Amino acid sequence: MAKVKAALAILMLIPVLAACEEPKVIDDIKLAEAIGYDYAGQDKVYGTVATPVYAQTGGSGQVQSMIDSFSVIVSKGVQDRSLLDSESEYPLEIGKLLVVLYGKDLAKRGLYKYADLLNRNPDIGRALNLAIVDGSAGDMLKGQYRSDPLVSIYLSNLIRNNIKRNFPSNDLHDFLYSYYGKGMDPFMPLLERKGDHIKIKGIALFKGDRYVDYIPFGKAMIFKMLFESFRSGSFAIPWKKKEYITFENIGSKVKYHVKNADSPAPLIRVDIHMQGYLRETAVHFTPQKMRILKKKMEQTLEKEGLKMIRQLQTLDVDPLRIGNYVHSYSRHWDPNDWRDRYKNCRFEIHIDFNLAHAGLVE
Amino acid sequence: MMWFTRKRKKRSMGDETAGRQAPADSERSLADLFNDLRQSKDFVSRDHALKNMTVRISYVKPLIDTETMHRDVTRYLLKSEAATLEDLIPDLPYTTVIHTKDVKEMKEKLLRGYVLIQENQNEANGILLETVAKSGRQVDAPEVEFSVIGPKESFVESLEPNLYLIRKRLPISELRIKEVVVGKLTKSRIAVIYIEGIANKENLNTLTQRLKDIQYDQVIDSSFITQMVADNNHSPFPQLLDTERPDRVVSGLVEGKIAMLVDGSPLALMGPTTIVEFFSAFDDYALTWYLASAFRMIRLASVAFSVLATPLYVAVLTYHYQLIPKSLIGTIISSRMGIPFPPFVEAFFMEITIEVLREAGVRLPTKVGQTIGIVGGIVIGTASVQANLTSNILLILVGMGALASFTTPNYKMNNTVRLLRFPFLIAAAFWGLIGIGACFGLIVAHLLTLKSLGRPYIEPFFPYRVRDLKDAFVRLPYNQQGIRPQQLRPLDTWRLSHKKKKGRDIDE
Amino acid sequence: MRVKVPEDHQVSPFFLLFLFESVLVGVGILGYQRVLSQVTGSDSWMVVFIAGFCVQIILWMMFRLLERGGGDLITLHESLFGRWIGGFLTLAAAGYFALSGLVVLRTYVEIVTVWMFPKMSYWMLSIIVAIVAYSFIAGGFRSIVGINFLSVIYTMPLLFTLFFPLKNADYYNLLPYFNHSAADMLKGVQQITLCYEGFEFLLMFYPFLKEPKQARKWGHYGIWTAIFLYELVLIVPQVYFNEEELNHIVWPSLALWEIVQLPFMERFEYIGVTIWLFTILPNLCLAIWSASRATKRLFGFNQRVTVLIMLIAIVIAGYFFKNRQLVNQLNMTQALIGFYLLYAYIPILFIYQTILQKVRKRHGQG
Repeated sequence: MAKVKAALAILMLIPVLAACEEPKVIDDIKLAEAIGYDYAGQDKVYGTVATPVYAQTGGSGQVQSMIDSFSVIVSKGVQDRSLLDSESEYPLEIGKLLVVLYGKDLAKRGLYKYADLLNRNPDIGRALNLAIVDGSAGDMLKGQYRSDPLVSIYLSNLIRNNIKRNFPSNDLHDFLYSYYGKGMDPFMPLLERKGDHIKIKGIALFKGDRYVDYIPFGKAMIFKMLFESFRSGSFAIPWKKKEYITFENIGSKVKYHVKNADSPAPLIRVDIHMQGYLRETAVHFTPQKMRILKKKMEQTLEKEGLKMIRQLQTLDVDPLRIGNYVHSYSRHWDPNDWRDRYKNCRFEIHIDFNLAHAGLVE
Repeated sequence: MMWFTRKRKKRSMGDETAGRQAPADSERSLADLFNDLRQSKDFVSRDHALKNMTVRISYVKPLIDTETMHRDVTRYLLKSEAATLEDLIPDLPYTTVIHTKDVKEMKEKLLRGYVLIQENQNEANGILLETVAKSGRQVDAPEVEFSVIGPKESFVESLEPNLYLIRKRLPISELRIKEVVVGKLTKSRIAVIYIEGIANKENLNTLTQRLKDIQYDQVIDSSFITQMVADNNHSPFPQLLDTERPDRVVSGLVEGKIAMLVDGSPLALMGPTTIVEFFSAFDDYALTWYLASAFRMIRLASVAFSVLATPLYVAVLTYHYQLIPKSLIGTIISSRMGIPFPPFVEAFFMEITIEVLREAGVRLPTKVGQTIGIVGGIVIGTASVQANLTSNILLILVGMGALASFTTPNYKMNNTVRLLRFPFLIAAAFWGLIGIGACFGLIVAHLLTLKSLGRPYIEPFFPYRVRDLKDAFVRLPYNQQGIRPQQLRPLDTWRLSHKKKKGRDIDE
Repeated sequence: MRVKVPEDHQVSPFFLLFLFESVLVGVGILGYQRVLSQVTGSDSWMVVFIAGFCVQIILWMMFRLLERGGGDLITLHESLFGRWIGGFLTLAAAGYFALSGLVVLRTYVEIVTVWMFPKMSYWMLSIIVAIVAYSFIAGGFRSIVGINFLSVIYTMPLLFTLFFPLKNADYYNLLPYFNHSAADMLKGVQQITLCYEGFEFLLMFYPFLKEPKQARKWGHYGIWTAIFLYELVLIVPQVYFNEEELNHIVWPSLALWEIVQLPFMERFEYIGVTIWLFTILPNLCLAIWSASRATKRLFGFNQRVTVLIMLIAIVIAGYFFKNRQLVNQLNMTQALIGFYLLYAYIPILFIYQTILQKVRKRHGQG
């Protein structure tokens, strides 16, 4: 009997205990799926939030959606949520954030504060895409586009699908990793609005948390080849004048070897093994020509790669994480003198290209 | 919680009341007995003059087969030239004739369909002849535990045909059948069946002791016995396996289980058992082992689904929207748009609706029941979605959950599974995923202490016995099943004479 | 002096494997990477192993102690220090056991409030956890072993989530080797041994093992399994995050789950934190069970009641650790006490017992 009483007492506790956590029922909140930050004068930020609005469907099974976005100007570092709430029907929640955009002007002045906010909040996942907008992030979020009624989904798909192809992989985790890590600098996609489309203009390069310059999208593949191993993407190389040959990459592996890691000018050898096949060409190939093609291919890529590294060295940014490679070969690695040594680093690129086949015609 | 951990107490319910209301068990004399019985119209007692003596024949008419009596008793009596009862016995075509002076026995047998023959001068003596009316249901195909392949026999409501169904499958002398009578008023006969040399005596003693301890006025069905014999009668989980299939009883006996048959009940009970056995069906043994294993996994997965689907829906939609994948979130939100209730209320009402439908379907005759199912399922479901009272995603989950719960072959376990989701649902509504976790913890704590006839209930998992896992999640082939389940502590472990086959090379 | 435990309450020695594994993997494993990486960086994986060896030695001593003492901690104390001092020491140990229960409960509640329910009250969560813990402890030692065993089984699938971060892994983070001084390494060993606690409960449940001689082997295996897990859970965040980032993350093991994305579910950490309830339950149950068992053996209290009182006490005590700093302090204090208990007190006991037995033997002969 005593136990029954104890059990009843526990049952009575339930309502007492239950009255505490405030539920966030999914249709009683507004999900902020994209946030844009723009520079709005000294110490001011123009924040824009895009949230999807779903129509009541009454069992029809169709999902009708459109974007609703609103903006507010706040002081730097203040979370703009409470002000935005005044414009929103339901409380805003950022647990399903997909994309965060930063205006170029803001990015030039440093992004650390905003990225830290994303890192600190347990509501936000790490698989989140960051991007720089050439122009105004707010305008981009407020625009109307052909592809998808939800700009957040549009942007997220745009970036993610490009990462699967030619664009180097990049999300919040990569940004934070490169930002906190010693001997590396972050990068991001640089977006641009073109009428009712959005276009990736290139790779935005950072020095620390400040935007410096960008690599045009056409060269993204070269960057990706140096940056990581991947099994997709395509690239074209010139063949004679005005003729181009397109290759499809089916497996590229990159490895860094460092010699004289502790010297003022370390020698870095980049070994790349690549496998691909011919996708588009107007040229007719014989087996001999194929061999020449392979050679030409390797030479072109090596040349392009070295050119890109040199450019990065002159900009004094290290998105390829060279510093980290040197660090792992060295016992006395100092992040401070690394900046000076980086400029003097010598590079060698060895590309071993294997042409798997030349399509269905020979 | 606390009621889960309660130790089994000796049952003494109804002890006193039954004693007071039961007819006095003390017919001192034969005269009292006859007076008592004559109060009922169906008692017949008349004198017969034989060649050399007069006898009195008494019986309860509905209990006996009149034809048998005339053919086997009256005819021979009239031919007999005996002068005493003793002399009469050899003249009768019976192998077992009970000759007794015991008034109590006479009363018992009379009420079980025997004929009492007494000498007119010496009434104290009597002989009892069995002339029981053999009316009852024919052996029929199983209805609750239907199987597509395999035997199509099921138990009926009388003990003897049921014992026949078992005996004919086990023609061995080691098969033992013990009888216990339980129930102050119903005097139900319970046959305790086991195989000598396999079944563990300890289990047998536990069971018979508990059966003898039962003090209750009526035992109508074996399900009464399950609850009275159970180790923990507050548990929602059935602790004895009930089946209507004689083949299942036999395979249990062979493993070393102890079975019980209750006169008047078409369900046999078996123990000790484990939780996994409630989820295994006959088909698991009729199909090849990997097919059987795959279907068993599906069955177990559907149990998990049916218990957890709606609680997870409620928890995720109420507290953890972050868990929803981004491609699904639009679908879920637009299906919830405009619904006036929070997810918990929505889900709770849908679950209750399903239970009401099921309850109505069970109570109604089969044909009407089906109609109710269709009307309820389709009409109410569609209407409530179109009226914007529930989201169609929830409707799918609830429907699937109900469907999944019916894959459990055992009816009692099936009920348990369906009821279990309600505490989960409530916990999910209050504390989200943590609530579900805590609820799960409580159930695990309960299961860990639960026992079936003194043997651990969740045995192959804890205590962990790898050997018994061969028939838990998966059913391994028969040649791997060489050892009887260790949970039963069988006296004879090996069921195969184990010879190792050499692996043959190619082309040999 | 032998403590007799009825056989049907004992467990087979094989379960010691699971007992130790689940007890060592508690709340400590969620955040030790940060502390360790701050001290020893890329050499941390060696530290984990070295500390593992130390633990094995201590465990060996513990088994020897118990084998010679022929009972549990109470008999040990009584035979070595007499009734009063021994009893006092046992009481102190019981206090420590209860304290480790408090640490587990409070830290778990802290994790849940930070990750899942920022507005949920401390009372609600702690009472829920305490109720579940009580339902296990009330089932007796076998039931606690049951949850130990099942917790290992339940958390096994969590290992698969470690594959997700490996897609983005940078294995260069594990280089260079031997980059830290011996002093640093020693400090690292000390840091990690703070997490390798919980097997001291063996002192209480030793008589509950069916064949104690056999148990030894399983005990060592159990510790090795746990060390292997620690190693795994150290290396994966190390290759996924870099050193500087790791120094900022409070619970790296949980942060790893953030990137697990399945087609039907994102953000695995919410599920993970829920499943983690089953890894802290064995610790909590065993701690409270040990503490209450000690008081039972000392004063003959009814264990059902003491368990209830202790649970209520730690729930109330936990309330006073209101913020992260206090919780961290609580963790550190308990870990330090545990450290001294295991690495100072146990060896002292061991030596003292050896000497005492030698002396007694000589006296016996002389």
